[in-house]
Amino acid sequence: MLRNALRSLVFFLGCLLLVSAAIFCLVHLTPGNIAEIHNLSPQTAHVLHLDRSLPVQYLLWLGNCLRLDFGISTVDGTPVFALLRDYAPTTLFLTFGSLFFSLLIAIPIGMYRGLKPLARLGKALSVVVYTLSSIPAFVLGYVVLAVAFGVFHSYITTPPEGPFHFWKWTAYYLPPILVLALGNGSLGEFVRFISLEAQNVDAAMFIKAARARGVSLWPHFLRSLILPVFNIAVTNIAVLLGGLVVVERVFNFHGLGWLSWEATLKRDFPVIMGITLLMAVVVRVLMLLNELLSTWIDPRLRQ
Amino acid sequence: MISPFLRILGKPGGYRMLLGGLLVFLLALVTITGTYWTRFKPDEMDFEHPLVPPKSAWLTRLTTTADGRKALMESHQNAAPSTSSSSVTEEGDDLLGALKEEEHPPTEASTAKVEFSALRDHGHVLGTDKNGRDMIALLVAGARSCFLPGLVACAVALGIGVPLGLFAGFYEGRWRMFARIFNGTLLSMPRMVLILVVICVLEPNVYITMAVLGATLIPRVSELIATRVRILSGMGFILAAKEGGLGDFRILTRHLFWYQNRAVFFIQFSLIMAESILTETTLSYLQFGTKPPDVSWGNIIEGSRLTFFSGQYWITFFPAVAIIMAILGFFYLGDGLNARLAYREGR
Repeated sequence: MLRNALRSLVFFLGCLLLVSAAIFCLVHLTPGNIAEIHNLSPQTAHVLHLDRSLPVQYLLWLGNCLRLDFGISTVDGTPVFALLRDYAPTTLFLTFGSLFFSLLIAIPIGMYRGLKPLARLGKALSVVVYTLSSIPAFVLGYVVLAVAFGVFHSYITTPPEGPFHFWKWTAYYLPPILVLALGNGSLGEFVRFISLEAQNVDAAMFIKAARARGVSLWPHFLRSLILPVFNIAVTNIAVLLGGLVVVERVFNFHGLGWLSWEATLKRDFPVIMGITLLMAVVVRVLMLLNELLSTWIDPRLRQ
Repeated sequence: MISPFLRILGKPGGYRMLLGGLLVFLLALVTITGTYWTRFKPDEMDFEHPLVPPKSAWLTRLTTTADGRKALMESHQNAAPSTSSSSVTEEGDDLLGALKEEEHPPTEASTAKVEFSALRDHGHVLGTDKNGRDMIALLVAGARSCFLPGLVACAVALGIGVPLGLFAGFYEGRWRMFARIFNGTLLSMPRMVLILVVICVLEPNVYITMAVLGATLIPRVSELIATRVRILSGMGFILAAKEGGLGDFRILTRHLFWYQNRAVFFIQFSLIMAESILTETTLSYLQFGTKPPDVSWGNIIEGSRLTFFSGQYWITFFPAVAIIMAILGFFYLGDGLNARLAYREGR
């Protein structure tokens, strides 16, 4: 158990180290000098350590990142950490909101499809789900906007201010969350995975035994489905975070996706490095938690 | 002649395979032959007919709103005196008349008739965008610009992912360790963000961007192949082949890859094509993929932001339909093949 945990921890740290090295190499080994690209004076270049050797620069950068100092934006000089702090809440809200909605839709459909594989309704539903999830997020976003403008003749374009008001918040946040939940490819993945898991659980011996005893099956089903569902949700976080770039652009939301789009457009290296590192850390931490939790909960995985 | 195609329908995944195959075939046909039958070129600007609606009346009604038609008519009225007044063409007047007629329609049928006769002459069947470029020509050009980069992505993902998976599954030990670390590193960055980093740093053309997309798909391919190979390489026929003195290379390429995993290869090819069309159009929409003088479905949609909100949405509508058709085609083809493979292997 402890050995396994240590192994996952080492893997986690190694991956993060490799990710940071990969990002750093990508940015610094490119043709052209960063100081020249951004027209920095020698003094500024010295302050940013751009005149040191590459390994030293890497270590300095990594050390600063560990202290949450991701450098400053080369466009307007704002600290990257401040930018991340300001933009992250929207992204967090969108990510977990859409995860919630897609699980809410996927779990019933997946269970139904897994337990009754021959039912017509289940087949039709899964076709609809697969079709929806293979539509690009920005096309679906346009459809939602067209409906908002064409049917409701309005779409709220500024974030609601003041105290929490249910309808205002819903009207503002629901469209992008729904687009992200339905049209980003993760819903289809969820349904497929959950139906497979439900099928496996249905065929397991302990369900047969429970059926023979005549007790209610739901507790057994739900208990054995919690872990796989958590698993697939965690592995899809990366996909969701990627999809945010598009959805935030379509709906004009100022979150991390929007920030990375803007940084790419303005070639703002520190910002995009910071965002990528942050996202990699989030994804890796969730995966580590997933590994530790599943070995802790499910003794079958301890070997 | 049709019967072998219809026989697929009885098999598992048959409908998906047939539908996907048809769509992919159509896309390939358009990509290859498109330039021969389109009447206009994608860079040809018809300045006398910017923003004309699609030719047939029902398409016009489907892809515009009443407000949009009104705005269009007003803009034509305003534009008409300002352009050199002597050379206002017959068609322009007709178009104006038709739009006016439509504003106060006598009957439904006669409106369609008048509109059709007025718009017949300029030859833009699906209308034009705000620069007067023909929509059909743009769509064909867009099909080209998503097909070729997709092939690049497939080449990278399968060309590296398949050998990596084969080695990791067959040799275990160091190769497996290497594959695990490599995949773990790639999987911890969101795909879109990694691509954005590369675009931000290198400002590459669309082919290199698609190669990066292919690189982010390596983990999926290699893990899929590695798990299959790991199971297969303990089986009797591989042991027999080893006993019989076959070299590792031959076992890997022929017995493990070609005989056992080629179906996976084609399924992944199809799914990666779908993925890469999705990514290419998305990137072009974000202004990072195919850049404006060249045409991609994504950047047609990006360019039509303003006209979309003023009620003329055919410029957004047709590329969107094309994107969905192309992605669904490859997706259904891969999915159907997958169902068939699963059935054959008795899963």
